[in-house]
Order: sequence, then C-alpha cells, then structure tokens
Amino acid sequence: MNSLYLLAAVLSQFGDVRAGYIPADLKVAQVILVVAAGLSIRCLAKAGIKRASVAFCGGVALGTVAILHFGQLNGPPAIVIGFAVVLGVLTAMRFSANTATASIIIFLIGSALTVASVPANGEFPQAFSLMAVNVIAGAGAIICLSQLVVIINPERAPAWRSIAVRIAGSWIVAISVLIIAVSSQTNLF
Amino acid sequence: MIFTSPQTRKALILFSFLLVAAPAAIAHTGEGLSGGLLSGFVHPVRGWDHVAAMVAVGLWGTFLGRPAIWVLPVVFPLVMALGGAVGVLGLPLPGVETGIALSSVVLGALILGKVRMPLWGAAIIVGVFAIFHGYAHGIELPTAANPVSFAVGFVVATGLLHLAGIALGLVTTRPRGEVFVRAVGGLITAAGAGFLLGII
Repeated sequence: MNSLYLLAAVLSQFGDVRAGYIPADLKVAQVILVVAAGLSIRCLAKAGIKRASVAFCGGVALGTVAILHFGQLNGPPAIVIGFAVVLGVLTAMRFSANTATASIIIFLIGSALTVASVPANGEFPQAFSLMAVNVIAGAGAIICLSQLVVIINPERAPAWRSIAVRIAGSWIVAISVLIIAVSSQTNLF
Repeated sequence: MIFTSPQTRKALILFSFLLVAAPAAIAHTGEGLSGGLLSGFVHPVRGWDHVAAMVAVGLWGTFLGRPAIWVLPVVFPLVMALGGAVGVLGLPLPGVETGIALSSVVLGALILGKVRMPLWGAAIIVGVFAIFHGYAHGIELPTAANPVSFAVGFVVATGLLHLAGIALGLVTTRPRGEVFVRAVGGLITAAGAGFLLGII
C-alpha cells in the first residue's frame, strides 16, 4: 500500500510540474543532477559496482560534513547545476573515463547530491533525517535511470539509440544553462 | 546490471510511460498552463519558423552523415541555451525574427543543394542560427509561470524536432530518398522565404 501511495504521489507531482507548478520542497538542482548522473552511466561504468559504491558513499560523507560545518548556503545549487552541465557534456560526447576518473566523478556526484538534498526549511542537525531521505531517493533514482539508459542503449545498440542518448545529454546542458540564467534574474533557489 | 529480469525491465519502462501519462493537476491549471511544461513544449511546435529550422538541422545532419548526424543536433540546443540565457538576462539582440527566418532559408538551401562542408563549418552555421532561436524562447522565460518547467518543455520539444528531422533524413538510404530529402529542403527554403517576406 505504501508503494502505491508513493507511486500516486510521484504521478500527481509530475502533473503539477507539467501544469507549471513546482512544489516548494522539490529540489530543482537535485532533479537535474540525478538525470545528468543517470544519463552518464556509460562514462562512469569503468568504476565498477564496488568502487562506485565506496566513492559515492565517500562523496555523501564529505557533503554531509561540509553542510554540518558550513550550514545551508545559497551558492551550492548553482554549483550543483554547473556540475550537471559537465555530466551532460560528458554524455553528449560519449566520454569514456578510466577507472580513477570515473571514481572521482562518482565521488563528486555523491557530494553534489548531498549538497543539493538540503531541505528548504529546517535547521541542522534536526533536518538531517529529511536530507538523508532525499539523498537515498536521489541515489535510487540515479540507479533506476541509469538502468533505463543501459536498456535503451546497450553496448551494441543501433546507431539511433546512441544518438538519442547524446542528444539527451545536450538537453541536460541546455536546461541547466537556462536554469542558471533564470536563477540569476529570479530567486529560484 | 542490477535489473536483469525482463519483467523488471518492462515494469521500469511502463513506469516511465506512466510518468509521462500523468494528468495535469486541475488545481493549478488556471495560472500554470500559461507558463509550464506544456506551454514550453508547444512553444517551438506552434511556430512554423521554428519547426522548419529544427527539422532542417536534423535533416542536414543526416545528409552529411556521421558524425554530423549527432553533432549538429547536439550543438543546436547547447548554443540555443546560450542564446536563451542572453534573452533571459535581457541583453539586446538585433534581427531576431530575421535570423530565425533566414535559418530556414539557409539550412533548406544547403539541403536542397546537397552542400557538403567540414564539420566545424556546419556546426558554426547551425550554432549562429541557434542563438536567434534560443533568444526568442529566452525572452519569454522570466514571465513564464514556472521558468524551469517552461525551459525543460521547449528544450525537449526542440530536440524531438531534430530527431524528427533525422528520422526523415534516413529515407536517403532508399531509392529516390535523396530526391525526396532535397525536395523537403526546397520546401523549407520556400517556407523560410515566406517567413522572411511576411507572407506566411
């Protein structure tokens, strides 16, 4: 029953977004980062499951320490979206990283996801549980999306599929650039 | 691979389609639809000048072959976003409408004439025109009910129009396909001339 409720909540929220309303608790930077990270699976695959898990958890730990030390800042969402731009470029270029580079990128994704998951309201350390839920949900969404990309675009996929993934990478960059521009004019974050 | 069973894969794909099929929330339709995901999505589709140019980019990319088939549709949204950012920031850009109409004329003519050029040259041509298209979308962004969903909508619609152009261009592999694609290029040029002269 809980999963049905969760599904209904996700679907209704997507309807809201389509209608032009974004809930206050939806983290724009987090969503962009999750999609960018999911799409760049081909670039990150060299790290392997174990190394990727360690790097991601290390990144989350670093992000958590940074938030607890510095508190909630206004700058990080723009930096996180800037990082999403880099991931989008890597996807569009079909960049293939070596093991070390892939691990570092995954580490940075973990840190960025944590920074982007800070709840809009609430003081730390009380808001820590809400942030933890956001991070776990984000990590789950990255895994689901990366699986979808692997299904759509396996190693020996037809050419049009790899073209579609490249173009999707360029969408991430374009959307991120526009969001950064809009946020400079309005109080988006 | 974490999800290996075919059933799980199908469920994942079905879930993605369900997300797309989710109905818009009725409670917010009054103010939201004027500047949400849907209005961003239909913004490029409603303007035939945009549609002609976007399809032409995909079509020309297919005509030029690899790697232009993916480079041009990747370059376009990237540079378009920069043009959009210029529009969002309110910086002036002269001749936007002329630039948009010219994009159809030039890109259509390049397809019609079966013009082959170096990749960097093609990317520059596409990039220059993308600035005008992006600017036209960008100046409407700050007034949208939700700029983020509007931006997502128009970027995705632009990309899908490129993909439509690529799909159309794939007929070049069939007999007389090249003639068909060049004819479409001619139509795009004629439409662009119509936009330029204010006839259409």
